[in-house]
Amino acid sequence: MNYLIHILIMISIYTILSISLNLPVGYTGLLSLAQAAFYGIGAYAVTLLMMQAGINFFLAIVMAIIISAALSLLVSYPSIRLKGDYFILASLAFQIIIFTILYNWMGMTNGPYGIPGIPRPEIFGIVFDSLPKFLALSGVIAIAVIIIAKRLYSSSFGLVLKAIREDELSAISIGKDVRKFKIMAFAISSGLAAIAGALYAVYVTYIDPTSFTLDESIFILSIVLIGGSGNLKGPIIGVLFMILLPEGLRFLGMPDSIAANARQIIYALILILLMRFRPQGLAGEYKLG
Amino acid sequence: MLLQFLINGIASGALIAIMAIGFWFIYRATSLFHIAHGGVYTAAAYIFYSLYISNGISLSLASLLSLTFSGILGLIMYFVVYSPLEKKHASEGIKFISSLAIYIFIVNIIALIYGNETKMLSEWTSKSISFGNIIIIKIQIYEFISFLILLMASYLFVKRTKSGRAIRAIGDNPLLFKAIGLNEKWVKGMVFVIGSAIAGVASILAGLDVGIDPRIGMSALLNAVVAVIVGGVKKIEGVVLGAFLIAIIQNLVIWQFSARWESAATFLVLVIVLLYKSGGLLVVKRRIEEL
Repeated sequence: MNYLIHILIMISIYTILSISLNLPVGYTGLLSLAQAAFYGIGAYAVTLLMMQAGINFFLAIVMAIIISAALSLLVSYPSIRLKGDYFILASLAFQIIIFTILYNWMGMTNGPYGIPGIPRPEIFGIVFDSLPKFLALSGVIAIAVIIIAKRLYSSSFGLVLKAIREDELSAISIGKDVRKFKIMAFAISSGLAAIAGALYAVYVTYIDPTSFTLDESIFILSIVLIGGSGNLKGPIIGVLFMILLPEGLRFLGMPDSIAANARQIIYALILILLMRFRPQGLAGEYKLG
Repeated sequence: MLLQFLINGIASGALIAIMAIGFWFIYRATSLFHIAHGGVYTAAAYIFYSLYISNGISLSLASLLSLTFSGILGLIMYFVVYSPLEKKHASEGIKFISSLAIYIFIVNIIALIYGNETKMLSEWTSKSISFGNIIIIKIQIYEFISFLILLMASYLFVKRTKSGRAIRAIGDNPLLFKAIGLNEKWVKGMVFVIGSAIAGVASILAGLDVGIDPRIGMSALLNAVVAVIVGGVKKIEGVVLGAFLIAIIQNLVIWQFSARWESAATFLVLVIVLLYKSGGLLVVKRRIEEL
C-alpha cells in the first residue's frame, strides 16, 4: 500500500513538472532543457526558506515560485530570440550552470552532501508527515495546477500563445508582442516547476544536486514529448506512461542490475519512433516544428 | 607554472579541436545538431578497449578497426534516422530530439555490455617527460601531433578537393545543390563517415589519457559544440580557434579556482557568444541577398 501511495505521490509531482514544461514546448514551440534547474531552484529555495528563515512551507512555496520565475528571465530575456537548436543550447547551458552552482556553493547548498532533515509541511496544526497525508497534499496541489493550466490554455493568453506557435508572423502582424508572451510563458512554466521542486524537497526530506541534473531535464522533456504537448491530456499521459513503465518492467521480473539501462533504452527507442512517425506524441496536439 | 598551464591547455585544446572538427564536418554539410556524435565517440572508445585490451590486438590495428567501426556507425545513423527525417522536412527540434535519443540508446547499450565503472586503456601513455618543473605526459604529444595531422588533412580536403567544395556548397545552399543535380545523399553520407571516424580518433586519444566510462561522450560532445559555436560554424579555422579558446579558459579556471567550476565557465562563454556574437568569433561576411 505504501508503495502504491509513493507511486501516486511521484505521479503528482511529475504531473506538475510535465504540465509546466507543456507551456513553452506545446504552446510556444520552445524546447527547453532547463526544467530540472527550475525544479531544483524550487526545491532549494523552499528548503532554505524553511530551514534558515523558519518560514512556513505554504508561504515558502509562494516565494519559491516568484524566485524561480524571476530567475527564468535570465534565460528567456536574452535568449528567447534564438531559433531552434540555439535556444535549446542556451537552456542547456543554464541547466549546467545552475547545477554547478548547486554543487559547489558549499555555504548555501552544502554542495554534494546535500541538505538533510527538511521539515514536513505544517498548517493549522496539521503536519503532513505520513504518506497518505502527503498524498492528499501533493494530489490537491497537482489538481490545482491542472485546473490552472486548463484555464490558462483556454484563456486569451493561451490562445495568443497558440497563435504564435502556429504562425509567428501573423501574430506579430495583429500587434501581439511575441517576445513578451514567450517570456511570460517561460516564467509561468518555471514557477510551476518550482512547485514540484518544493513538494519533492519536503516529501523526500533530503535534497542534493544529483536530483536536478541534465539527465533529469532530458527525462522531463521526454515525458512531454512522448505523451505529447499542446493540450492537457498529452503531458498527463506522458507522466503515467513514463512513471508506470519502470514499475511494469519490475513486475515482469527484470533484474534491478539492468533495469535502469533497459528503461533508458526503451525510452530512447520510443522517442526515435515517435519523432519519425508521430511527432505529436501519444496524445498531444502540437507537432514539433 | 605558466608554462605548465600552457602545455596542459594546448593538449586539451588539441583534443577538443579534434572532436570539434568531426562535429563540424557533419554540421557544416547537414546543419544537423548531431548530439549522437557523443555516442559515436563513446562507442569507438569501447570497441578500441575490446580489441586492444581484451583481445590484445596491436595498437595501430585496433585503432584502425575502431575508426572504421565509428565511421560505419555514423553512416548507419544518417541513413536509418536522419535521412528519413530530412525527407519528411522534419523540424530542427525533431532532429535534435531524435539525435539525443540515439545518444541515450547507445550509451545505455554500452553500459549494459561493459558496466558503468571507469576502464583504463593503458599504462605506457601516462609516462611523463620532465624538464625541470615542467611535466609533459607522453600522450599529450600524441594528442597534439594527431591534431596537427588531422587539421592539415581536413583543411586541404575542404579547400582543395571537389568533395570538400561539395561539403561547403551543400551547407550554404542545399536547395541549389540538389537543383543542379548533385548527389545530396552521397555528400552527407561522406561527412558522417569522416566526422564519425574523427570522433573515434578523439575518443581513443582521450581514453588512453584518462580512461573511459559510458558517460564520457556528453562532455566531449558539449565541449566540441561550444568550440564550433564560439569559433563560428562556417570555417574550420574558427572551430580550431574556438577549441583552443575554451581549453585555455577551462585550464585557467582549473589553475586559478577549481576543476569544479570548469563546465560552468565553458557554458558561460557559450552563452555570452550566443547572445552577443551569435555567428561566432570568426564571422564570414555575406552578401545581403544571402541572408
